[in-house]
Amino acid sequence: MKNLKLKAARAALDLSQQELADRVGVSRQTINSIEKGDYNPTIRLCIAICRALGKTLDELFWEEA
Amino acid sequence: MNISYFHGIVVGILVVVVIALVLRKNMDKGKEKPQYDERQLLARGRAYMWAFWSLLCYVALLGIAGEEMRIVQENILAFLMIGVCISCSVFGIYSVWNDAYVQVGRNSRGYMVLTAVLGAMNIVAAFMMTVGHISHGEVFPVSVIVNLMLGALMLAMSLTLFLKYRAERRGEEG
Repeated sequence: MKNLKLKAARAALDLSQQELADRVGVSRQTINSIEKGDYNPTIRLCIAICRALGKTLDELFWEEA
Repeated sequence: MNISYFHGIVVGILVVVVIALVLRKNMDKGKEKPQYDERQLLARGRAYMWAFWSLLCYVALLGIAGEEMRIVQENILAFLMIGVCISCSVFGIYSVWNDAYVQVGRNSRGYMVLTAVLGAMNIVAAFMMTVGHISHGEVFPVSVIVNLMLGALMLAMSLTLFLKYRAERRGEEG
């Protein structure tokens, strides 16, 4: 399932996928895969992304029922 | 076994060992630490799995073919080397296709050029060896197949890197 919340949070800070990838120390393709829902990140990477975007885990990764 | 063929294999192995030692030394100094992110490590694990299975299937088929075919029995080292080349290529192509071959923050253009040059060198070497053997009135040597195979697989790898690079440039934020 696509992670639109992550994409929206990134766009709100006017960050490109590459810029976010550089901030969390992964490749651009990894950020792209997470946004597209092709890859489930580990909790460590989720936390790094949340910190980089100033959001909580719930805000970015919790799926509403 | 042909002595010059044996020398070629020894020199090839020595070159790989020297390059590996130089890279290792640089890694220890912290200059060239390989850095793959978690998704890349996962994809590389799957690439190793497919490379392992492809080598296993090839060796099994080679064993069956070796029972009947004299050409396999007489050139077992060459045929085993072809298996190693196939296995390495499976790993490389799978990794490239899943964006896990090039480390984080690195560009694939260097790898693209390197594999293209190595592929062309092997094909030229195979061609020169064939011409040399035929001009001496000998038959087509099986050892040439190793160079041909290596050349073809290197070029396939380079082409995969190029296709991936082009796709990447087209859909930056895809």
